[in-house]
Amino acid sequence: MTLKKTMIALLAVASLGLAFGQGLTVWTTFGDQTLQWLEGEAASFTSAFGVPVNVVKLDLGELPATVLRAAPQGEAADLFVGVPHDQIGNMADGGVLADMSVYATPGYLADLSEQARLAYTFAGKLFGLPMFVEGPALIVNTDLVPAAPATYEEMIALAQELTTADTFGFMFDAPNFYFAYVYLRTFGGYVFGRDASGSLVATDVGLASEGAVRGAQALKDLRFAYDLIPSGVNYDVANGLFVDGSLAMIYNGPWAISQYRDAGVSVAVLPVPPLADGTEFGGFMGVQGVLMNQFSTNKVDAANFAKWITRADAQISMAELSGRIPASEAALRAVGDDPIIQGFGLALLNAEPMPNIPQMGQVWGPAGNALSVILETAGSDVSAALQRAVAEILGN
Amino acid sequence: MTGALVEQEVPAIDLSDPRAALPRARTTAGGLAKSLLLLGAALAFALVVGFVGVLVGRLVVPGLPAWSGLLFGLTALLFAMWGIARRFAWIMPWYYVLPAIVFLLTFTFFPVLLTIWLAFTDYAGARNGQLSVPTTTPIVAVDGARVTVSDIANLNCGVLRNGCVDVRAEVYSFDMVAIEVVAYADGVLTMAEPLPRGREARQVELYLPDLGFDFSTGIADVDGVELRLLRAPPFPPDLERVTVQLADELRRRIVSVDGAVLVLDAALPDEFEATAIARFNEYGYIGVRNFTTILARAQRSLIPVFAWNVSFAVLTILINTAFGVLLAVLLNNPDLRFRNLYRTLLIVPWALPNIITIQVWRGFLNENFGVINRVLMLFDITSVPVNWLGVEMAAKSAVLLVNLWLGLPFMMTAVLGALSAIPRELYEAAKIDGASAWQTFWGVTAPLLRTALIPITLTGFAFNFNNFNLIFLLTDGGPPVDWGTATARGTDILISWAYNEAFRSQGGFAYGLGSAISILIFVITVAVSLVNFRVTGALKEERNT
Repeated sequence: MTLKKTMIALLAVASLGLAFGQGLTVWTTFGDQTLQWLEGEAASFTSAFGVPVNVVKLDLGELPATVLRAAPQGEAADLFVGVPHDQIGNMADGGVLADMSVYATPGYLADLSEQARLAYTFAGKLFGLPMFVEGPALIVNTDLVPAAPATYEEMIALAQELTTADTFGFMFDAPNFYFAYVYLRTFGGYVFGRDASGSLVATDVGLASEGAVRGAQALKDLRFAYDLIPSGVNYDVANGLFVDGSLAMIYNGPWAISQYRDAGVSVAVLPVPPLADGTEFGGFMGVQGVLMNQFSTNKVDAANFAKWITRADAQISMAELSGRIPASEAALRAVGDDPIIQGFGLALLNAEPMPNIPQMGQVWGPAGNALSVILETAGSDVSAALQRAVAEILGN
Repeated sequence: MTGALVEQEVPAIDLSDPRAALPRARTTAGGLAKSLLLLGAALAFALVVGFVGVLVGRLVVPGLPAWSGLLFGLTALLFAMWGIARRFAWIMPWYYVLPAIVFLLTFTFFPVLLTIWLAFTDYAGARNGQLSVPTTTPIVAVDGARVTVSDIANLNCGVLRNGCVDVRAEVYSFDMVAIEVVAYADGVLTMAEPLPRGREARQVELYLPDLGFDFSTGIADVDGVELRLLRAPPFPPDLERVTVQLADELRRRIVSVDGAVLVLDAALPDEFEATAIARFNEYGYIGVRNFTTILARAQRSLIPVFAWNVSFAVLTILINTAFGVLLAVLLNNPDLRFRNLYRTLLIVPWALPNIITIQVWRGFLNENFGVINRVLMLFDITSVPVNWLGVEMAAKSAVLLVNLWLGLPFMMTAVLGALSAIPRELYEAAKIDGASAWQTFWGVTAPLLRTALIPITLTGFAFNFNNFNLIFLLTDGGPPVDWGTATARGTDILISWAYNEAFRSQGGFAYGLGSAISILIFVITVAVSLVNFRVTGALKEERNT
């Protein structure tokens, strides 16, 4: 008698757990305005299709690892929104991402920009539906810089002129490889080489090449030759100074624009001016979109929501809100007149999508360390630091 | 921890035979081995019931969550305990330690076993035992168990320890077919002809012109030409653009690879139209390869990190003990006014959670905005700000400094306790003999403190040897240095280095390598402790007392 009652109670508890499996859970790295945008899209999706969507914010630093760990246990969300494409290789290799080629309709694919499609393609499969392209550009405070400099050299001279007792000329998060790569690449460095067919070669790391060394030297000159970026400047310091209106130029991405506007800073966005010999600057760009959990029990609804937030209309509202460049070409045509989006668009023409092969995961640590060592002292050996980083990336 | 003693009524015990006062029969009747055996049997029974319960439960209620196994297991355990206690009444006291045993097994024993096992495997993010979706490769020809794929490189066999030999694989039969629909009403599509046989219809793609949106939905059932949708679209679909996803899959094992031909352990059925194959991320035993990798790189990681680890632990103990004794002796002076106030204030660092205080210190030590540099510059001790967390030696000093602040209250309290145990008469005698304060300290206080301090310094050493919190929160192992690697930096100690290897390199999932490092750390810690005990003679003294 007791046994029977217990069993009934147990089954009742267990079936209660089943009742939760109806709606969708979305993990996102979006914050502030973009998070509100996503919640708005989720609400409109729920009212159109009757599927409740629960949006949860996670840090980008923890999302990929959490997904890799939790998804096979059935404890991760159905969709992951706002994961940069360079994280895809690792997650896909770990078996937690669903191949979304099946869900990408021909109409969506035809409208997708080539850059975005390639960035989200890994091992020949589309592992997510791209939403927008983003990357850093030169953002200037137009109150301090009325006319944009024509060359990099002019820009440096202007920055030195503007570095006074209460203003700074040019700063950015220089020890961060994501931003610093623009110097390494412009002067001839690269992360991974490509073979004849255009695929990335994990064994060909060009971060200690002659060009990369010259680029790192140019970066180091910002601190020790031109006295523009003092030691201790990181993202928060540079960003904070720009928000305060005391920094004239910053190399930063579209995510910061709304913050600058809210602070009342009048901004213009343009590519970093070319070197005197005409070489254009170009660093990393990233593509963000929606990924699907391979272990999701509700893939059909998840696919619908993924398609819903990547449709052209949604991309337009996202672009207008945050200055991101839509991955949909129709959406880009609709918002192309926006000067901010135009500025980022021009800057990213020369940019390279971050490599999405899993080996990229081994680049960030050693490359960042090398930059820290290089920027540490005036006497640091640029070439040796980069060579050590490359040896470490290659696992020697 | 310092609760006041509670006065209790203690029953009188006949001291002529203390054992007689204990309920002897109930504690020892079964014997240790037999008791543990019975408890083990109960736990094993609960485990089996838990597993089987979930498996059977899923037949009745599909999708029963895994945690229901815990409920089944727990119920079974209660019944087993009740049953055993009926037969062996003397086991009752053992039930009080059962929860402790269960937690010991789950949270200590199991992780230790798992770590040892993982250290001898190549487990990592790309070898985690899951199905590898990116390796899905089209199949161009099937001949019984021999399957030819379009591009063998896409299977990426190189990352597995044995290539693709003896690796599980999933064979797919997948197709998207456009179907002709004659009518749609209330979630039911009427097709012109029945769906092709053999594969399961999984999903329908509909275009909703009113929304300009491609809608996917599952299929409730297919009856001839009638296809009932799991969810009716909110707007009428475009009947010209309807596609159905047909799919099926089989599990196989790859036995050998011959060029672009994979030989499977069993032939594929004739009616199965194989379209693609994906392999699993198999991992397994690789012997001591993880250890040789670590030792090969020891010059730049293991050795310098170990050297700093030992000096960090030793210096911390020396500095903390010196300051602890100094302050305790000062505060022990009964003539000192407000000494209770000082004592209380000095205890404060102990009372605050160090997770928070360490991060506050991180702010204090900031190069440009931190209070420490500001004070130093205010008093002209230094003209340029010290880059506390950015230069190796400064960061190491900062670690020791903060650890002094954190460890001082404990040290001071312990020494104060030991000081109060030193008889006053000895000091009086020293005074009569005309000893100076300095002589009194070295002649009376120091030797008598020694016995009390040895166990404290030993535990302090063991604690600081693996003081992950401090390093992780204060410097995060940084700054990067030119002698080290991305995972072994200026202030990394062994445990933070292992953390970096396991969770921050190779895509954050190098568990195999990380486990190997933690085993090495275990070996080193044991060796250090043995040396420690031998040198200080701690074990011997413990035995004498």
